[in-house]
Amino acid sequence: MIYLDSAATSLLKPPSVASAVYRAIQSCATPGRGTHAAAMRASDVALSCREEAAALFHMREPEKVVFTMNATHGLNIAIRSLVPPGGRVLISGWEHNAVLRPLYALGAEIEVAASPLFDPEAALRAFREKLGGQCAVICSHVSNVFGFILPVEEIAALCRERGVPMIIDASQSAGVLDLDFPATGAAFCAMPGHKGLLGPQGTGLLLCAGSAEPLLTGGTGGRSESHTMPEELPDRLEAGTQNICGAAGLLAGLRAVRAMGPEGVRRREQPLFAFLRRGLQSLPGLRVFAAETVGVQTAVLSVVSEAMSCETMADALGRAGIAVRAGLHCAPLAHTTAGTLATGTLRLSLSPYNTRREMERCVAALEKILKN
Amino acid sequence: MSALILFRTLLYAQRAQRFLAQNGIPGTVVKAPRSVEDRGCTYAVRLADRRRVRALELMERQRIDHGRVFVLRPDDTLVEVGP
Repeated sequence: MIYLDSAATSLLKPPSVASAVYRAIQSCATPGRGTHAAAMRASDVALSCREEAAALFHMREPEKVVFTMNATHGLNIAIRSLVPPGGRVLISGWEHNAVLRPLYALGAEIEVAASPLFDPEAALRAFREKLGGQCAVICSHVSNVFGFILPVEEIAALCRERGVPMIIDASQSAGVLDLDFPATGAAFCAMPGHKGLLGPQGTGLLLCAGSAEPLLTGGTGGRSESHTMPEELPDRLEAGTQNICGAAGLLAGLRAVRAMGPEGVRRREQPLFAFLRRGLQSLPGLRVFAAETVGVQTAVLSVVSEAMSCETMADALGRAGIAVRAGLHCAPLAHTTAGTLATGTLRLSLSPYNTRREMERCVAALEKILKN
Repeated sequence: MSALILFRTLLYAQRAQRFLAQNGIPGTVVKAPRSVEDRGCTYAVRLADRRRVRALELMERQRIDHGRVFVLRPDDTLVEVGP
């Protein structure tokens, strides 16, 4: 199979990830319950995972790296910590349902800083015009549909200037683009463990600048006589048994990512992406959403055909052994902003482990499908 | 004789234990005895009492926060000591 759905999850992972999960299943108990060898092994895995993540995001305090089930879980914690029912928020025009649905559930007053695709300056202008007085700003670092890299550092600077807390959704950027979390001054940054960080599904990280409101309350292995969740992170946000086997896999993924470095990831992905983009742009009747400027798009490419629905193309590619995704990608707002809500898009998303030969085969397969 | 340095959470105890080990002071993360904890289930680093003062100095320099400090006497009683 040629796997081009890494924006959904990183199926292609280093072998060390699976090995780490397997070893953890066999040898790790639960941290924060006993202090026997198996429990301490689990505690060490957990701490090492937090430390590795803290280093990747330039943080000095690994306790502010909180384990979550996925980015959605982290975003829910962050949003509910900052946004009261009916509160005003400002978001970009590229947000995922992981941001929108919690806001709808809160009855939030949502303002959208809409801007054209692949125009970071316009995105910044849109935020500059609308920012002020909101409970929070929520902004994706990279659009999951189009790979558009938003200027989150500059938006974060605006938020600091105007005293509005920010939540960064790093679902598509973690492990791909460098992000100095403390330097942004953002309140939270949520990410999945299973995409660019190359860990298993069922893992995620929430980076916290300060405290937060727990989404779940329960046992934490400490301060048991207290009726409330501890004040200290990460315990405050980690009720119940954590996914330590997942954390072990995520630790292996993080180590692989740090060994490559964001530059290393881009060095591997961008030539493949450039080849794929050129190949698809040469196919008649195919609209390819590609940035003209370098440095504004990650290795995520959406296309729409005049002749065929995205779902039909995806199905045909699947039968040819090429895994992609079609539809709205849980991001109807992004499609509204881009003008593709009626059709959705076919999305091809790469990883550092794809090859040039796979790109050639993909272009050839799509050419054949469109001709037929 | 051993010393017990208490911490707010397991993670803080682990970090302190790793830091001290890196600075030549071996210690073990343990659950603090019920008699010395005030809110149930507290973690501590146990180390040789002769290294206690140095350990506390190093942690202070590194701004590693800790809780109460105890010495475990040969008769198994715990005596709280100042920093």
